[in-house]
Amino acid sequence: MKKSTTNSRILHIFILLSILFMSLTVYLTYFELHGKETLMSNNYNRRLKAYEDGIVRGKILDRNGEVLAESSKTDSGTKRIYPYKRLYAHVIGYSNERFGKTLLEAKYNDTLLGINALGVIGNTVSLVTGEEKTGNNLILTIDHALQTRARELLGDRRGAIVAMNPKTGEILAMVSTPDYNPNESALIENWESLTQNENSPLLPRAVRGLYPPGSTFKVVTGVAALEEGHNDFIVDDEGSVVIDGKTFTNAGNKAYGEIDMTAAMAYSSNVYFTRLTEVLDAKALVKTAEKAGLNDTLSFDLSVSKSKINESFKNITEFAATTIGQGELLVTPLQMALICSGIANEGVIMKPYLVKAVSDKNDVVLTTTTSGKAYTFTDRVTAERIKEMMVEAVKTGTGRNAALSETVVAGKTGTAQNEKSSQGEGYDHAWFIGFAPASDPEIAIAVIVENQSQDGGQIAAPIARKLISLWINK
Amino acid sequence: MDKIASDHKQKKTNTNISKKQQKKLKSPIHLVALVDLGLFALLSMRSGTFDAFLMTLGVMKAVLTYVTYFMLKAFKMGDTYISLIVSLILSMGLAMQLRLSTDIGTKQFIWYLLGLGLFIFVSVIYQLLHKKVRSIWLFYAAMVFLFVLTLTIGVRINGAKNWIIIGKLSFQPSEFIKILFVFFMASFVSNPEALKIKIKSFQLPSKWTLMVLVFILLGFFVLQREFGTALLIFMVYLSVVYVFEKAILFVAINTGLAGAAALVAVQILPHLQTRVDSWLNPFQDIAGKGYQITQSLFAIGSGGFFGTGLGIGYPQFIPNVETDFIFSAICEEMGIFGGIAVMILFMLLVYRGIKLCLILRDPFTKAVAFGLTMTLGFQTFLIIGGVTKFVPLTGVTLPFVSYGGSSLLSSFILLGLLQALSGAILREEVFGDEEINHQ
Repeated sequence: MKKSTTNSRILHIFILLSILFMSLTVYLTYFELHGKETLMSNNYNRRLKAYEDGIVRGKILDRNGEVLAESSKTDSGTKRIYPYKRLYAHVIGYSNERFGKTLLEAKYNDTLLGINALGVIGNTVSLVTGEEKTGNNLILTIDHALQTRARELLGDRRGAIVAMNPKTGEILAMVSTPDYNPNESALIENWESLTQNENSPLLPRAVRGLYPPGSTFKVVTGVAALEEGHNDFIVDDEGSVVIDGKTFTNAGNKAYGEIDMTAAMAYSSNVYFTRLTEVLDAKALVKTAEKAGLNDTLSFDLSVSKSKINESFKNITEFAATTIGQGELLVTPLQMALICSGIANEGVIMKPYLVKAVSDKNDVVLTTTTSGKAYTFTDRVTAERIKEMMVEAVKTGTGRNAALSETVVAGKTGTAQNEKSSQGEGYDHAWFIGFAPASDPEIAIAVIVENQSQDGGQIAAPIARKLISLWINK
Repeated sequence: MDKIASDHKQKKTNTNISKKQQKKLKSPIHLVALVDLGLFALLSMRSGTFDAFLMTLGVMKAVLTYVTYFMLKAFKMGDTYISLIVSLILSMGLAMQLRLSTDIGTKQFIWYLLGLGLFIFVSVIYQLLHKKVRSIWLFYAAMVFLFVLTLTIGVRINGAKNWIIIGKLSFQPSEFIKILFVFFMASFVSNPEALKIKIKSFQLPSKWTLMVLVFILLGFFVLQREFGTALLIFMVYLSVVYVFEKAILFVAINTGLAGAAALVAVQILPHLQTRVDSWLNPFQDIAGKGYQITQSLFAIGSGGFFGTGLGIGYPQFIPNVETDFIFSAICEEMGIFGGIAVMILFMLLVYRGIKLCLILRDPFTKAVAFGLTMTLGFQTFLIIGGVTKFVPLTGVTLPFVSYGGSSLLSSFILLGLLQALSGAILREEVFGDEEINHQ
């Protein structure tokens, strides 16, 4: 073996040092790619706050440019101002140092601060020119007039309204009550009562509230039955029926005689729909509900609760209860608006969205949201049939309070038993879903008012009518 | 005689390299000057208004780079590349210091001017001294003197008692001890006999004596709580022993012994324990012990690959950013690509040093060149590895980049010594050989 010389040993040490430096390089690269992921959002990273302090947060505007949230410079940084106070609390949320960020303010934080790839360039330019660093603006799909009216119509009652364009998925109005004033000073003042109030004013009911859908779910049952070929199913409705030992009755025990599905939908016959269990496959109902988005986590601009239907039913009774939207079924108001949109849009449910576009501080549009399909609920023919039934419901049935002289409205009422009402401690929830004009829908809407002594047709349908009228005549 | 020798050599190289090739091998000096001007232009315009003072410093830096370069060339003072590489490292360092604070940056610039003078001075003077001063006991005594001085009149700053303050001036003796240590090791390599100790009939082999002396030095460092420099000189010690003594077993024994001592030290010295804890899990006590290193990681992370841009990041959030953590500031604003560029420059410097070691023949000069190169290389690795949490953080500075007169001056002395070795001293050795060949 050749004896190593001094020079070759010098090279050994040089190689060792080279390896050390190369491993440092590899380590640093790994750190930037993966190592830092969980690290950067640590509270002790003062940069996060420093970025915000130096940047004037972008505005949030409605579809017509109405300012819904903006920031202004103060002595100690910036202040977020919500000029319409509670009106957008459950859409925009709030952003301040003390309570953090919620809803759109949280979801679009980077965009509003302009710290994405586009923003960094802008900020460098403003640094050189000495201008204030300003984040990007969000342009929402919301219509301020419609939103304002929707909020007025709910008044002091608890509930939610979701209005959307069934053809694009744009959310036109989204109201949840009770709500709160998201301005920081008001939050400081009311925080304790807001967090302790048993009516959960901080809960965005439209996307996170889970309710039994009641008779509005008959739309889904109808789709399932039609798809299974039960077009000619006819029932002799005597006002009540006993299924597997449990009695199901129509509202007010009304008997409708021999009826088909159109009449059953129009008058919201519980007897008809529960008796569909005689011919309908339980699995088909679950499958149809899942095609409309139940049991699926919808990706949306706000985090949405998953609407739920049991995969299989314990017994026929539960199956029967599910056909009329009772049982263990739970849906969000947004989910009902989507089902309604699906019928309006030839069976296709479009992906709902709240942010229409992002613009920079000079109002130059940077990105625009494109609509896309979320679910294929049913086929065009079936959707058309269900639509006709819903038109009938508004023309002659339980939804008459939603009828307008200037246009044809399609709709379905619901009066949902809930935990409290079934124990006699409170009233049922009043529902209405509908869209108009029936021939070429521009707006689909879901309304729920919690624990009302009157039914969906009396409480929820008029709200929908007023909003549809406002939108159609704008 | 000298003149003839160099003329002779000049002729030889002239015939070896054709004129065409010479043009190809044109020095990158203009590129270095361009980087200087570009970096300082960026720096002086970063706040939106033009800062003429900063640009003046940049122009000065570029002019000095040219002056140094042509002087080294004109007087045949040796390798012209090492000062160019260092010039780039300095530009990064000065620009970063000036960006952090004009006040501190300006002071650093003054230290740079002094350092450059010292560099020229050392590279001239050392040619005359290198044969005369080779006594191992002289170097050892000098080191012990500095240690004792520090321990008696030293002041504790940031945990380590390693500062001497005289009037308005303060300096860190350990920055100079590490250079003395290289000479100490080189003296041993060239004349190990000096350490042979005879006690009656028993004779202690010289390298065991060396080991005792080195461990005493390490003890001094531990007393001063200067674990970084202790680790650094220990690494230099091991590499010199490995290269020149061919003693792998001896290296292993030393490593084992030092490792055991370190384990005991970690158990009994709370100061050292803190460092290990904050390396293994800095997030456990992020508000306390782990604060510095986590702030450094946030900085490096927020810089990404390309950095936020000069003046746009928040490196000032890291405590001691201008000294120990300057590398993290570079990574935040120039990205890890900027950081890796700095590492590559240091590696190039080490490469030039190693190349010089390979050519030098005299064991003393060879060991000096090797020791100095290792000091530079390991010190860079320890601090960069430390601030990135690759290895435990030890408080050594990043040569030529960290703020501080002692650090900068000792780095320039080190550079001057390498310059002298690559110039007249190397020529002397080569000429000596040729003379032998001619006979």
